[in-house]
Amino acid sequence: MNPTATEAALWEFPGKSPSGVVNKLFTIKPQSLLDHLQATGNHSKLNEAWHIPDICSNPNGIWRGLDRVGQEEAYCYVGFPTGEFAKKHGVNVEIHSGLVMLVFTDPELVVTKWRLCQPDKVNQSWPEGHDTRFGERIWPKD
Amino acid sequence: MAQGLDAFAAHLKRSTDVMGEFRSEPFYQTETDTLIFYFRDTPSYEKRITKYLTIFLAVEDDSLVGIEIKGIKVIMMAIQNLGDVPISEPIEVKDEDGELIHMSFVMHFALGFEQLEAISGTQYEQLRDQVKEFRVRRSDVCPA
Repeated sequence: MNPTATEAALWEFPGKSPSGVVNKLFTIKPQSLLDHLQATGNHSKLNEAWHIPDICSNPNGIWRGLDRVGQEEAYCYVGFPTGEFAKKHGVNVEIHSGLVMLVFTDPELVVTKWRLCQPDKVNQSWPEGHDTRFGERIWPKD
Repeated sequence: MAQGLDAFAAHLKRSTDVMGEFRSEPFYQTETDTLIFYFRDTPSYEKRITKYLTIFLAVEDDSLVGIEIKGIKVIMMAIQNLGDVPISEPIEVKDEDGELIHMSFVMHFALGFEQLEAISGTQYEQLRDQVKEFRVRRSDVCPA
């Protein structure tokens, strides 16, 4: 049975707003990447999805703009995977130390994709290439 | 109706339980205009090669795990401008022939010739071999 067929169309959870000040609701939709990973048996990438709520609620930094057409208002939340959300639900997920996790959202904070990344050599809380790949860092401000 | 994190966790658990064996298959994500293609099921991290191309390397040994081609609409428009390319079909990726653009062609547009040196010869050969059987269908979102 496809588990997505009988479930809600989306999930909502609180996380840090792009301003970094208040909380806002984030959305994850099963359609799109999550469904693709499940359909293609990609356990590794699906396991990374356990980190999404943790990163969105406790990021190290938030950037806006992905330096290409149509993605100027997208956000990227970056943080250290902790596995806390998974642990709360009785699941142990692998933590790869030394890597940061990137969670991308659209302007309405709908999560689109996620992945691990090497950290910046100077500020290891931020991703490699953060100074060139994004439009601007919006939290924390300098 | 939206549900909360408990439902999300339950979904992840159930998804894991019912997942079959890994299948390498490209995926076009409309929201981000990216084509994501994992060749293997192993923990990976990204390595950004150009603004249009990212590769995924294994956490364990830095071997190639997948590829992401970004800005597909821009690339398809550039390819379209090279010649008489029909654009009536939506973007999709298939492992069959027809009026589809070779995915390796799209990959090379994303990579750019100057950036060929940014990846190792072995990685380049692996990328080329992995994508050569796939074709990308032109999009009706590209202006005529």
